[in-house]
Amino acid sequence: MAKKKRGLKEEYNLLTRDLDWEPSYVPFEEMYPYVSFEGIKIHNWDRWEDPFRVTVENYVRIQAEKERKFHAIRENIDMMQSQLDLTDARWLEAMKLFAGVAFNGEYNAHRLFQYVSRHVPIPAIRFAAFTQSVDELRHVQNEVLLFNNYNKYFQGFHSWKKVSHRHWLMSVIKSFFEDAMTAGPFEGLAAIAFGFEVAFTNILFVTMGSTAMANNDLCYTAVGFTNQSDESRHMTLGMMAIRAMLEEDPDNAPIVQKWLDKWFWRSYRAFTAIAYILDYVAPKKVVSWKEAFEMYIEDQVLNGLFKDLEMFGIRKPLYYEQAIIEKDRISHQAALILHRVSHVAFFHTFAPTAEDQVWLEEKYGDTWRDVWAKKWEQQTDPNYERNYPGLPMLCQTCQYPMVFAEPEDIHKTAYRHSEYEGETYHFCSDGCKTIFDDEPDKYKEAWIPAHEILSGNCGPAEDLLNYWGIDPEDGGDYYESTDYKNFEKWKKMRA
Amino acid sequence: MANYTQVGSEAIKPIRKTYSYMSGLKVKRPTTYDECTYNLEPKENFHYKPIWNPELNIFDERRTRVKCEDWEQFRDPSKFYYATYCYNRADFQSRIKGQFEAADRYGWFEKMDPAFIDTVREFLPVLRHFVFGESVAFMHVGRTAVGTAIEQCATYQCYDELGTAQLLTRICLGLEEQVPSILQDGKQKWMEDEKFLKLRALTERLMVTWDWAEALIATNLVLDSIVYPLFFEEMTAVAMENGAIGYAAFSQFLMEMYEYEKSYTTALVKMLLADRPENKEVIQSYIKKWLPEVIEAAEEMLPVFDLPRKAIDGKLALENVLEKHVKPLLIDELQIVSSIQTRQVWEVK
Repeated sequence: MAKKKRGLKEEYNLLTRDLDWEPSYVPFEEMYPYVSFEGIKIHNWDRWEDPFRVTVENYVRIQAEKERKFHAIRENIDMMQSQLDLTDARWLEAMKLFAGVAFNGEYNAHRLFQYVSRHVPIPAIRFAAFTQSVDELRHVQNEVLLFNNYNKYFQGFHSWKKVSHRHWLMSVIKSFFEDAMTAGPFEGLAAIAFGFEVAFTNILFVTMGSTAMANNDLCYTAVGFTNQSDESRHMTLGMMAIRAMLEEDPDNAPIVQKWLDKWFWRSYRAFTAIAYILDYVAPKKVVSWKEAFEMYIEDQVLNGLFKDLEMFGIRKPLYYEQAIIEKDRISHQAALILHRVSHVAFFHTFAPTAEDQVWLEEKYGDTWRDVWAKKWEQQTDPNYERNYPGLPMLCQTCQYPMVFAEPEDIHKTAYRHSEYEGETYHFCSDGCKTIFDDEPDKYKEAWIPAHEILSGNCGPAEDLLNYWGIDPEDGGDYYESTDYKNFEKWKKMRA
Repeated sequence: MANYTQVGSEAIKPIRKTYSYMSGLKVKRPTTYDECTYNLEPKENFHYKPIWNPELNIFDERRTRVKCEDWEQFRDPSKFYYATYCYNRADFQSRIKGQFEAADRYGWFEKMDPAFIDTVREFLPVLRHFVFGESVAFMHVGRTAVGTAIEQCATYQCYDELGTAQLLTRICLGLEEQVPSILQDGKQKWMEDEKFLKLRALTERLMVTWDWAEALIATNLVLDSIVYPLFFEEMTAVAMENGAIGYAAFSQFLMEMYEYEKSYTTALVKMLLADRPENKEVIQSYIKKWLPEVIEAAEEMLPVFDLPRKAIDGKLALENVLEKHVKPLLIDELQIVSSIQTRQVWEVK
């Protein structure tokens, strides 16, 4: 093609950022109305480069290749009835959570990155952000199609849309993404590209992926592998975005620090569900939450990524010490509360089996013996009322049930609160309280399920399960469920 | 494909075929496209108000003046979902690559008639900026359009526009040996040449057209239905007259991009007109606002038709575009306007 000898870099430049121009019929402030209100100062919009040098041509070629493989695998999984290869259908209780969380999460990320690409006029970031938007559409579509394989045979997947927008527990992740979508373009970018993708998705795809593989879950493995191949681009965008903000002006550092504080905590709290999956749901366990946290969050993020950002005056995110203290707590706290709410859940819960307990003791040692084993003993006592009366109280910020303990006292539940405009708001932690106190006008608007139900916004109380998209057979104990019985029956039939 | 396995006399049968909400889609049997397109967009129980637009929700039907009972019923006639979009465009890129290889082998660029090279350098590098501007407008259309099926089309179109801007750049790079400064000159023309100022003014205005349906209709039924056929059909015919196969060989790719936009936008407008009569007036107001301006912008660019050795009258080229593309679409098929004329008042039905 090009006869003139020029470097790839220069040619890439002509294919991307050279296309842009400085508008003269429309003022810059009208063209980019949201570019300045967050206070981020950018002096040289052109300096940044996409290290992947993605063009539309190479993108569609590479992605078409990946899609051909993925859809061949998807059809094969369906045809071979691979759901019967699972170690135990109990693993699917994790996948039901994943469906409720991820489908809508990916879709919202798709729409968020359309907004980011429109409103951040840094050409390299714009193109990478739009490409990410297209990737996220890929992820939600592939997940919806693939998980229909499970939906055909098991409960808990059939109404994921209602579940993800109405179910009380799904407010956690719905509010997480909506928080990012209602922020300015730079915060939205920092939130998802850095706070979520760079800091946390290794656990989602690598740790969860290997656990899924160990349990013969071909669906999640297929999705994990193929999504992960896009994530490396997303993580690079996240790093580029943070560096661009920090390098362009020292005044950006305090703003970025605040976002990193907030989104580290928000992402960390959201990942409690993953802790539960790794330590409890997985019939065959590979890595504990504690180990994954040490490997990815402590070593790679806190002592790696944040170290690299020190030169810009960035410190580790606020309350990271509490996250470290909590690493041998949160999976158990989540499991204990979920066990008590299976009558209002779209998935089954269960108490850890003898086999689970051996593993948990091996991984959690003293805290398991001293604290969690005892709590399970109490909770599984036949005289104990298993079902929680009503709905557990939720944190105003992260919207998890308030089950997390005081950092200094594992036996005492942490309660924090703030008064704002004559109202009292409750939080599970210092991290969540700080986020609220910083933007009370935003967080007071949260759609807190219990309040909405009481205000009559979710229909009549006796019809709540239906409102949430739950069939009677979706919840309850796993070992008493039709899912379990069918799985055992089908396995025998196939054997 | 069988959905069950026969083992002995018993069969393992699925307990359901698809997600329960799929019953809301008015189709006989949902396809893969339907299954991964329908109803993905959130509609309810939003937590916070956008700090950048607190009067509206995160997803909100009030971001356009047109209205619809159920936006999710829209179907893309091409039924593109991510996988099929990528398959289609990967194939498309292979065909483009083949044309570039042929151009290399047969010297289509080197042997192009100098007067025709002078014609191409006058507008082609300019259009890469125009198309890029449209892609920026479509990032907003994608974010704010209502319903997964519609925003999905806008997303693919946006990516296509980025691809088209890159394709035009690569064609220009093919001509660099003859015109080393083709891209720099093109950008300067885009910024300063009177022939293109009107088009640039419209493009910049399009980029701040926040009513997504207006931006979509203005681009796909007005701007592109004139600019694309003018340069990639009329000018292509001129190219053939002047032996400039290197130009003509790439025109089909541009026209294919236009055909995609046109097909889904036509389907969308038909759905909106059928949904409620008030939409007609709104859509007419979009057309009324953009069409005269776009025709005027096209007229400004017509002097490029004087440049080839065997030239044609640019006015005739524009007339052809209106007759062959714009009128059949807006007057006959959609019945949005009753007549269209150049530099004159038209009547709205």
